[in-house]
Amino acid sequence: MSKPNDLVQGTLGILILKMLALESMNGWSISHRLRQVSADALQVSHGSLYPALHKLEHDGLISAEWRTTENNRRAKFYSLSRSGRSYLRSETVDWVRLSSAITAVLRLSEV
Amino acid sequence: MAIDRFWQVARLRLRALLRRQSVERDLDDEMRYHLESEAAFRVERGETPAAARRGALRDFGSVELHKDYARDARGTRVVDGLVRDVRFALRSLRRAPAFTVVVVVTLALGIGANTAVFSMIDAVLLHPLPVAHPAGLVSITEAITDQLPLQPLAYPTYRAFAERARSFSGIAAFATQDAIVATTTGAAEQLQTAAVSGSYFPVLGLHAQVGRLLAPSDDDVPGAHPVVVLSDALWASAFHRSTSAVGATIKIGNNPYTVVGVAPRGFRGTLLTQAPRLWVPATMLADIGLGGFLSAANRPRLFGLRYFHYWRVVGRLRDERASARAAAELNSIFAQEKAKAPAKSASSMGFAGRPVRDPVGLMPVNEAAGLSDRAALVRFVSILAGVVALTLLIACLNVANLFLIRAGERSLEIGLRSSLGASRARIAQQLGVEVLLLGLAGAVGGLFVGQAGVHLLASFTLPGAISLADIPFNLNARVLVATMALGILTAVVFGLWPAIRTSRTSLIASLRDTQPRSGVDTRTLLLGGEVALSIILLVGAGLFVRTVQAGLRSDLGFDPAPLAAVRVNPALGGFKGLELSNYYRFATERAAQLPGVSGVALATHVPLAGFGTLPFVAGDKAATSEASVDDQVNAGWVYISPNYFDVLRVPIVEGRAFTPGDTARALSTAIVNQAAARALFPDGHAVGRQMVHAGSMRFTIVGVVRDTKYASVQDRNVPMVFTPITPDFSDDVHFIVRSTRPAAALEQLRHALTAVPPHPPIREARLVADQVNLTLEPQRFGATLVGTYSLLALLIASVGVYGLVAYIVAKQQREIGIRIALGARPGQVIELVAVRIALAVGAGVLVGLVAASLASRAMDSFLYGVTRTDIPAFAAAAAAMILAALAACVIPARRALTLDPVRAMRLE
Repeated sequence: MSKPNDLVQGTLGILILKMLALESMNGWSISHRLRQVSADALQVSHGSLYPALHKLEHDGLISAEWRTTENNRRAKFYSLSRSGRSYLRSETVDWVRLSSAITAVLRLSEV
Repeated sequence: MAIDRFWQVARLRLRALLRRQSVERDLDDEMRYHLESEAAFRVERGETPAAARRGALRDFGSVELHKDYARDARGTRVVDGLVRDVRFALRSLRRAPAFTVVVVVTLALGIGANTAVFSMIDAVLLHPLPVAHPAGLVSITEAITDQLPLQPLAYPTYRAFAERARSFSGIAAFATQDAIVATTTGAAEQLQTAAVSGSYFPVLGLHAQVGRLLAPSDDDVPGAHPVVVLSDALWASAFHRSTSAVGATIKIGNNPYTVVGVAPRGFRGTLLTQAPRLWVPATMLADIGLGGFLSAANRPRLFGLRYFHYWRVVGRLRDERASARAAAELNSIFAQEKAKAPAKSASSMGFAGRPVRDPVGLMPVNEAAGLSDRAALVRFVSILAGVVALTLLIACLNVANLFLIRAGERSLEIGLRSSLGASRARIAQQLGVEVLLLGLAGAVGGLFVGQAGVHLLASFTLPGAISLADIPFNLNARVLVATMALGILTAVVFGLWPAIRTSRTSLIASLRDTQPRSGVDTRTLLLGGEVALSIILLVGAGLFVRTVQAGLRSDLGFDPAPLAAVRVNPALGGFKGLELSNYYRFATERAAQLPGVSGVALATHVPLAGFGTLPFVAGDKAATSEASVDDQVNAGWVYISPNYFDVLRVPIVEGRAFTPGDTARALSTAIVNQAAARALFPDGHAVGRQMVHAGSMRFTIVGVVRDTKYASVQDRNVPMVFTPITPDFSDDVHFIVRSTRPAAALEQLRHALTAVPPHPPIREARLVADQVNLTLEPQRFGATLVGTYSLLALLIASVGVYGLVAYIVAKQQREIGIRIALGARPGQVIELVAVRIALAVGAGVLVGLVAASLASRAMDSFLYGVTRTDIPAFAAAAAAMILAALAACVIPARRALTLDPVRAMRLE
């Protein structure tokens, strides 16, 4: 069995980091918010969300802590770490450069 | 990686490894929170709670799968799996305690026994020395004649070598002997002392731990430098390791010596069988009280004597690889020296045999070891090595067989697991862990067994009277690693190979496989091998036991039981002449008055204690010419008091015993035994004839005594020459008493002999009967060791038989059940099982007997009174094996007979 691969490999990580750069969130909120902001275009399978989260945590790019939510539930909240912030910055620059290059190429072929 | 990030990562990995449960709980919580939040969200959107919950779950997919992915992300997957495998393996081993215990114990015994014995062999044969660069050190010896190889050197020879040999960076000489030593704190005791040349410590490259060692300037003028270096042991016992020992004065042989330093810890000289406690300059040798070796007239000329082969010599080669060239150089120096001095033939000096070409030889200093017969020692330890190696082999075969049988029993379980989706690699890893655990447990057990073995070995004696208690050795790390590796390798190979093979079989096949198929042949073969090897050991043990029995039964020519002997040397205390003869007279009187004692005799040798031989020539032949070597009769030479044969009850068959008149005229009369009389005078009559030793010592034979065993129990008719002990005899002497209560007499004799001035210390005290045992000591060692191992092998092989029978019964339950249900008689049921076992054991016994008859060739020189094809030993081995195999069959066979057919069928 292979792992679900519904987003371009590696991009889910950047999306999560970006999300966490705004505020710290728990796993469900991240998936919910992803769907919202992308208007359901980015349907993140939960099967890839949690592994991605745990991978980022174990790589030290995000940190996690257990907090109590408003309805008194124990939930794991993730937030961006310092190295995660600088990683996000460099990855964003890379992504923008790459995606604009691809877009330019795609426009070319349309002509 | 930023430092805080590094810490976070490290902390998480550690937590994932060490706090697995809490990490898993967190994972559960997180998943549950997600599902609840999603459900709540869906309810808000208007779904019913039940539908919301279902939707959330459907959306999420398999919770377990997610957890698995999350675990992957932790990056500790492999270790996690390992930990699980270890737990699983421990559980499954606990369910098979008999299997586990037998495998671990078998491995532990095999590994431990091998380690102990090979460590001993390493210490004895390789004898590592705690000196600088031992590889460059050689021992220099001289072959005086072809019959006297590897002898020590005379002092002038050593000096010539030391001054002129260019191939060596240094040459040193040493001689060990016992001296009476009195430290300031302790009483006088007899200690082994080495007189060493000034070059000795520099050549060995040693440095003092306190003070200094001896230097060439300590060794220039005879008698001028009374200085001494202490061994670590003596420093500890006499000075409690106080540095004030340096500068202290101790007495050696009544002369004061100044302590200048302490030798390095662990240094006990370069000889295996000797351990000097103190070192003095070589030029002080005469001063420390040389016994009867030298006449008073010769003592001042000690260092000029060309035929006084007393000095062991070691040299350090400039070039380790050029030992042949170095030997050639020494031989040419030796020849030049010989040409200078007036030639004396070896036989005129009393040496047996012919001169040899290039008599000077070199050998690695650790091999010299001071052993007269290294070959016998090597042969003997080779037997021991073979025995323990065989035991390890048997142990390995048994472990292999047990694993095969277990694999057969588990084929169903493994088939089931593989059909449930476990990959072959996964199953192999899990079984590998189990096998490795067993191997490790066996290895650790082996460590303990080995340690115990080292202690046990210390109580034994090797040929050449090498008591293992005198040789410090411990478990050798290299040997330990090698045997452990072998044991674990066996476990892995034989544990994994069948496991991997079974994991290939499908569930269907393993469910269907009720009939033992292939693999069974391997099991039978392994069992046969075990049996055959065990037979070899059993035969070996039998032959040693029979030798000891024959030795104990053998006719010695005299009865040793009532005899006790104590050895003293009153001359070591500095006594001379009349003082000595007074000592012998008063000590003898005291000994004679002890209760139960009916006779006291003196002799330089106790029967059966072993000794060297010297050449004698019949008088008429000696007169004709320079007697040829072929005319020499090599005989043991013992100095005795006139009543010696009375006390031992050895009859004089011709002529007479010594009289006080013979005693006064030293070295003019002799008594010979029948063997010597026959060898010297083939025409029959010896009494009244003359014989000559060393060209000029002429003896008139006054009597012939009956042959007795003298050198050892094994010897046959060794020629013996007896001469009278002189009243002022100044060497080691045994007081031998005949008593109705020899054990008590031995104790009383010790006291009596030390009570008379000069109160000489007891050098040795023993019952002569014990000496019989002592000469059989190597055989007894062999019997004990081989016997223990052969019993072990027997036990192991029985376990093998038991395992195989139990396996066959279990596999054939259904068939047996059907047959019993159809009215089969017990005999027929047993036949079903027994044929293969009988085949394995029978073939194993036969092969083993043939192999043993070949292997026993190696033991030939240690056997006495039995041939190496001794029928009783072989028959006993076969009988023991067959009986043990039968006994091992009983329990599983009974189970087969009492099998309930209905239950057996239902089991499937």
